[in-house]
Amino acid sequence: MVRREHQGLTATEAVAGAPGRRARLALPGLAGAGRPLLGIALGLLLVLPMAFFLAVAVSPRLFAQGPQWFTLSNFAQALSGQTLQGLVDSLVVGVVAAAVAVAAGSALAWLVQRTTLPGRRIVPILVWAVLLSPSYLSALGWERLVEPDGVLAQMGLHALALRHLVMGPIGVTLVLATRGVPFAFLTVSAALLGLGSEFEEAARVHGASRWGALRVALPIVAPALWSAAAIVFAESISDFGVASTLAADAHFPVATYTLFTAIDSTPIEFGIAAAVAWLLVAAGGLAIVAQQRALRGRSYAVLGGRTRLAGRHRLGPGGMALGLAFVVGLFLAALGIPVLGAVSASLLKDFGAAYGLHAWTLSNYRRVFTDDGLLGPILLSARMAAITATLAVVIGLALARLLVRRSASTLTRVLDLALIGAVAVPTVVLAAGYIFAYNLPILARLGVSLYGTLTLLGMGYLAGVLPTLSRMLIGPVAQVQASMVDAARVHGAGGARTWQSVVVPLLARPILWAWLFAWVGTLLELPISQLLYPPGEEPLSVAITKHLANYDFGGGTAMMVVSVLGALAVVGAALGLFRLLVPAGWRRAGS
Amino acid sequence: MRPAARLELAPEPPAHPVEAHEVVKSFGAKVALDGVSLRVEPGQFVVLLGPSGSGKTTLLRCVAGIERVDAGTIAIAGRRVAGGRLHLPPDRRGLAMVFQDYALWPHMTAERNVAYALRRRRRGPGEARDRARAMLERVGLGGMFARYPNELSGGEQQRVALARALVGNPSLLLFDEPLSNLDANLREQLRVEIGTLVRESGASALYITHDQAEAFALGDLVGVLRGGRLEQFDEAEAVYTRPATPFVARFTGVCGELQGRAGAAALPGLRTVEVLGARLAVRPGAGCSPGEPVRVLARASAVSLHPPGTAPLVGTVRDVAFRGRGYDHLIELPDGTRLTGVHDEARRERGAAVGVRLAAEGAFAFPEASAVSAEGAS
Amino acid sequence: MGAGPMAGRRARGRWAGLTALAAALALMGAACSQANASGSSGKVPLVVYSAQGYDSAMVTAFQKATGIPTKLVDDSTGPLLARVQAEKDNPQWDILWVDGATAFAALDQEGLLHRGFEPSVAFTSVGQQLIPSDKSYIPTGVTTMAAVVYDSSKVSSPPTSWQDLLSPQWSKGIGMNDPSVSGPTYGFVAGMMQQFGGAAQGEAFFEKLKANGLQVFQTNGDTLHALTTGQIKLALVQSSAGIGAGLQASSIKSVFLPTQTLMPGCIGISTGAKGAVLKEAERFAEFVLSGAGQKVQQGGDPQGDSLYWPVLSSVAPLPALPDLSALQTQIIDPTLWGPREAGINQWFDANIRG
Repeated sequence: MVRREHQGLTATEAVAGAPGRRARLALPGLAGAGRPLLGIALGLLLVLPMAFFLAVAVSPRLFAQGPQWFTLSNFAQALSGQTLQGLVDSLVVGVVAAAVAVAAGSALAWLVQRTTLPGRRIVPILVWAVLLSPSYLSALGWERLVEPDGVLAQMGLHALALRHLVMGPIGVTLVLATRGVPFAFLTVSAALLGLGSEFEEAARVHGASRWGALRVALPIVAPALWSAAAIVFAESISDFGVASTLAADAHFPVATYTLFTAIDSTPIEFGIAAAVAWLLVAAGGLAIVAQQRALRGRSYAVLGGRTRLAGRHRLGPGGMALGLAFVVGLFLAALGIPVLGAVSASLLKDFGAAYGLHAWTLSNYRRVFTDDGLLGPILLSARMAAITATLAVVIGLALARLLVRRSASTLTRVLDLALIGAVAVPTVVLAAGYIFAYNLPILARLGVSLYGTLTLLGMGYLAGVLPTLSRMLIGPVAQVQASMVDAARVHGAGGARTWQSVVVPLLARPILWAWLFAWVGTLLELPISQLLYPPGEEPLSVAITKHLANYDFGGGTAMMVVSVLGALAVVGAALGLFRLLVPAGWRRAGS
Repeated sequence: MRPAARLELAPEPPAHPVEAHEVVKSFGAKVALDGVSLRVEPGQFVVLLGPSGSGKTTLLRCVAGIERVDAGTIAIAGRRVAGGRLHLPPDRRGLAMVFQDYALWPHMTAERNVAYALRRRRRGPGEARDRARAMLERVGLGGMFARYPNELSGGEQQRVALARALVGNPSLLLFDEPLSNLDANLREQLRVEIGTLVRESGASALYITHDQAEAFALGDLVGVLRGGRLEQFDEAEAVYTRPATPFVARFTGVCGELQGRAGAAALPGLRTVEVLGARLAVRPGAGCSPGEPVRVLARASAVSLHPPGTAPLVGTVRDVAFRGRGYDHLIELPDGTRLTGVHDEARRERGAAVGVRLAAEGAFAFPEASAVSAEGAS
Repeated sequence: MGAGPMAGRRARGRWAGLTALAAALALMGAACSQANASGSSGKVPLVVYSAQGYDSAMVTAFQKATGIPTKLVDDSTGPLLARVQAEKDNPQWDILWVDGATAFAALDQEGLLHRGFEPSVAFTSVGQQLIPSDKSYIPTGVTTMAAVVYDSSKVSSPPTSWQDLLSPQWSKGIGMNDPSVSGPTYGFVAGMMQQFGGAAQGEAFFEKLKANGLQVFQTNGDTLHALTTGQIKLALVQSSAGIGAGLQASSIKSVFLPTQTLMPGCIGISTGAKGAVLKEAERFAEFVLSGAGQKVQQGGDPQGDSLYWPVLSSVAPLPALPDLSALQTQIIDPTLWGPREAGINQWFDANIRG
């Protein structure tokens, strides 16, 4: 009998461990007829609206957005002046943010999975908290912290240098990188769990230093690193939350912002926005091509033979101090400071004696709870988010399953490319594409009246979360050994029972997290809500933005904070219920 | 703890025959099974032997229903389960399987892992638990019912997997290299247990391995697969003593290969071969015509050492290793041919000249061309 | 794709898959249709796209007064205009109600506005000047661009002319909105150009402002936030925003430097509104300009958009507003300045904002 000190993690051995030589995942379910259905769903949700929007770049006349049937002038404009600068900035920021996020995320993953660092068990929860909080909040929090009359200044610290650092390219990159850390952490953690210690041990035995051992382990987890880098890059270049706050206030043009201004101010130039979107899609595609080049078709998360679960490095006092400092610093930057900043902003009375701590007031919060106009949007958004999250998880699992299969490489590669392309496209593009695609007069003549309905809004939400969500599920899905499912089938379980008794328990935790990710993301989603919400059915984010736009900074921020805290409370409750209600064995599987 | 229920190992439906006919299966461009036919009689223990990539796992998975055949048919208990457009899913084939990586569900205790296979028998939870516990005790895991797989050693995990396969009294048991992830001594021990338990259960068994010792020890019949084709399918002794092809001979163990020329027929079933000026009696394979060049593949057990001059061949000892029950020698013949693992109770020193005798029942002659063409494959 | 491992489960997997997808779609459809069905009644619903702070109060009052079911899409001007533009082939709105005549002039040129409707009310002279000759939109009130907002506890002598802003006293102390984000701010930029005698002269002024350390924020709210957090001393924002800030904190004051550019809030009716809906849309405009409607408009957002100058001679502005006739004001011709918006905003982005 083998007892190890890290029992909670050993449970993942069978999940994350060694897929045999036939490690193709074979979850039962959406096979056969399911695949065409999945194709149709993706076509309607993502491909069609995106294609329609992108078509405007070369043929504005197609959607009555200009006189020309074919033109390249939009590209010429997109590749000049500020828009070009924005594109270049976006690409540089994306690459740097991806590199920083992967480095920090990998270090964090190693500390959590492979060392005796105290407090490592709460790190995954913090990571998810970062993932769940909107990027808008991070940027806002940083701004509140360093602006001339911000939190630091009120505490008597006038950190001018820090302000210039944060309110500029470095700050933008830093915030995006901290937001990318969760992707890197989750992907690399999964790979480390599958990577037995023998690789490192073999290297150490053959005379490599600890650093040398790392050099041996790195190429083995390289697929995970590349995958994480690609997604952080795509997320960063399509981010709007940071672009519209920190980057805009710092007068640091990035592509999403120039795209937004093309759409958001008169005259509205969908053509130029579409051209910028093309270039962002291309950049996302390049990232995937680079990833595939670097890996030369190696499938990730499929690690050889029979891996022995790695022991943990016992950190010395120095290492422990260093590790703790790193973790604390990281989460202060990624979570603490934004929350502090946003909370302080919402406590600040807007005008009048706005200087000094005595002016902090809870009246903004009181308003949030007494404003009856807010309850409707909250309920609507919560319900839409729940439906979206449920569908997104179902479809995301099916997509992830397709993506981890090593056979059918062409289709998989196209799908992979399309999904990363979709991640790289700001959701505002998707939303505008939805209008083009689903408000065509011909549809009304055909009796299809999707536009202006909650169904279409829901589809838009689904399209918004699906690309990222399915990539998040790839890791866990890849680690369910095919034999887990085969064994259930062979021993008499039908497809449905196999899902219920084996697949769902093994993936319970990732499914829960993915659901929450989609739920929170949809709850506070802005661009799609703005362009697609049906008359009279105001979503939460639109209600919040309206307050912010009506010069009610404190009230708007208070609403934002309340919403985020409320969402986190729901997340906490869901996790608590998971611990309470789910059978003990389920919690052993996956981490 | 409640006393374990008495175990019924006899299959509830009687043991099933399995018949595969001209089964073809490809993965993309790679042909994994290229027209394989075989029959497992009820209660028979059949071992499929082959190197990796030979298609043995694919065949097993086709029988299990995990893979779908491209062509050919598979019938279990006389009922067709695969072929044409028909494909009966695994859960409706009434079989059980032990996996190479154990495939225990990490979120279930040992007991629940085992009891899972009983659910299709629609037994009450109490009875299922009792049977699961009894089965676990039967495989030597009494007292470990509540352990999760990650709290068990590799050998213990495979015993749980074995218990899971046996508990439902299936009529057909499939084994996918169940011992390959275990240490040598544990492997031997568990192999004996598998043999005993399966024979007690009376079920038909299809067992795949790449280890010839395991194959001969377990199998009533042994099939040797190569490149998706069944090269030989026969009783274990027959495969060992009369390999049908050079590949089968090599895969079941040869200590060296000698080049020679076929002569006339000797005793019944034997033929003389001229090797290094000596005339040896060997078992001829198909196509050995007199005067043609042949390759003689020798089993280690057929080679014996003698004082120089008292045996047809001479050689020089190049290496010697103490093996406890005697010594293994590496012998080099005058033309440079080496014979490995030649056993003798007495030690011959390195460099010493020895006489070498080849027993006819352990020496197989194949036409040189077929022997050479088969070389690359293994 | 027909590879091995899935094949075994096709027979059942198909059903499992189909069931799962069908259930999921049904779930979505059911949840959504329930919401879609609500609110339907005998009359054709009227759809209002509006960015005004008092719009939801107005819609509620209108429904109550007329029984016409009215649905509101309430958002900032930018997203609303983007939506209108994207819906061009098949407009879903009946009423558009936002600030700034240039946007309406542009929509009119694209043939998206119903022409020739004028409610029979007594407009002020300013109101009459704001009505376009083809009667494609209707003014509902005016604000001005740009009020100079300051904190009187920190600034004792506010500027008295636009030229004053160029003095070293205000170096790095002035903030304004970005015209490509904040619609009314383009009106300010264009108004300054008109006032100084042309685009070139206006550009020169903004370049000097920039040389004096002008900071550009996104919207009224952002610029005022910069003022309250001490990043700037003077905020150039819409009059309603400045006066509203003064209502929240007495130390915040606004001055109106000559000349102020008038920013009308306007209602346009879509060419997509026909028959009964067109009648309903016209009733909406008439209701807004009725006594009851103006009460709602002045009460709906008392610290924000309600701080406008009415364009009806029968309605007085809220007490917090100075007398409009005492201010030096101008109107910019939307047909002249509307088409130049993109070019001027681009120039601003490249030369002033960055």
